[in-house]
Amino acid sequence: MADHPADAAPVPSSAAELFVTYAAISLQSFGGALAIVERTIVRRKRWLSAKEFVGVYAISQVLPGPTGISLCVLLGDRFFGLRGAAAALAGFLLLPAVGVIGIAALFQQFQHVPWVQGALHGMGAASVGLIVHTAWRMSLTLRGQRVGTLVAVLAFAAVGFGKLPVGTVVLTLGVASVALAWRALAK
Amino acid sequence: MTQHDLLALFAHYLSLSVFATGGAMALASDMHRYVVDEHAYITHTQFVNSIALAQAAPGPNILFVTVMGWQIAGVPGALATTLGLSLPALVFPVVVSRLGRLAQFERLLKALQRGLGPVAIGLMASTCYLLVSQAPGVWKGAALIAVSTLLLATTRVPPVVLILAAGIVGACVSW
Repeated sequence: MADHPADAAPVPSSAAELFVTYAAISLQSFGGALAIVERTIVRRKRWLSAKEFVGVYAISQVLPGPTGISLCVLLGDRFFGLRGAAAALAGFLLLPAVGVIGIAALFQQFQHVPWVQGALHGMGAASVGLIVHTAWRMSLTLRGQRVGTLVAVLAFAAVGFGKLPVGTVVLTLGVASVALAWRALAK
Repeated sequence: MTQHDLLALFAHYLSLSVFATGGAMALASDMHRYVVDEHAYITHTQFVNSIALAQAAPGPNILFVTVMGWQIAGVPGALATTLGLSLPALVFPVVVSRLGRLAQFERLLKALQRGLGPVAIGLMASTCYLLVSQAPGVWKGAALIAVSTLLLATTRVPPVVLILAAGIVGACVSW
């Protein structure tokens, strides 16, 4: 990872500050945390430059583990090692997890009421719309990439229709796809 | 749910996390296969409810796995799914800082991004297919999904506003 320049770039003062910062980020995010993470870490706290952030984000995407979690752990690790990573992760997940379980418990109390389940059906449909929209925007990046498109279609067919486990698909198709990309980058 | 089932649930989410490329939502169809189709721990409706509640509540979307685990087995279930999905990430910074010293690190990173990106898109498409094809209310759910997607594509409506508005519509409609 890049070394910090000698001139004082702001850093978090303690693992506790990481925890609090991440808890604040988490509680502000509705439907996608990335924008809030960027705003807080890069523009408000200036712990990372925009360029460093893009680099860390790129690594988070390819690391095992969901992107948001990897990003959180990498940022924490950068400042206080494993302790920082655990603090950031706990901040990111703990309070909102308690909150969302509380809300879920409330809904479960009233799930036999027809309009409550109706409201959940409606919210579910909008959530699916959100996922479809994200998938659509992701798939636009495949334009002009023949191999990439083929890989995406095969992954979809294998998991969506073939009901194959994700692990099987990543270990076969994913490995082949990375190998092809590795070779293509040699040019 | 026995202790053994709980451990198996944890192990399944742990293994999913290791193969996660992109966001947690890309893994939803695999989770569905495990908790709804194979083990019938929760119903499809409960599965979708956990996604809806996590997206409407403050916090990262990944918390849908927390709600899912809680519905399956209370707090131990929530811990099993959430920790299963998060713990592998704690291991990898160590790996990355080692890899960072490799001469070909930049190339490896690019190859991983380019190679795994399309896989993540295919997985997201599977999640969409699963959720759209089993939308509730014959055509009503599908119509609401279509309208939501269009609104997100054409306007700047914040997702949480859209979800709450759709909740109100859903409460007024007979499913």
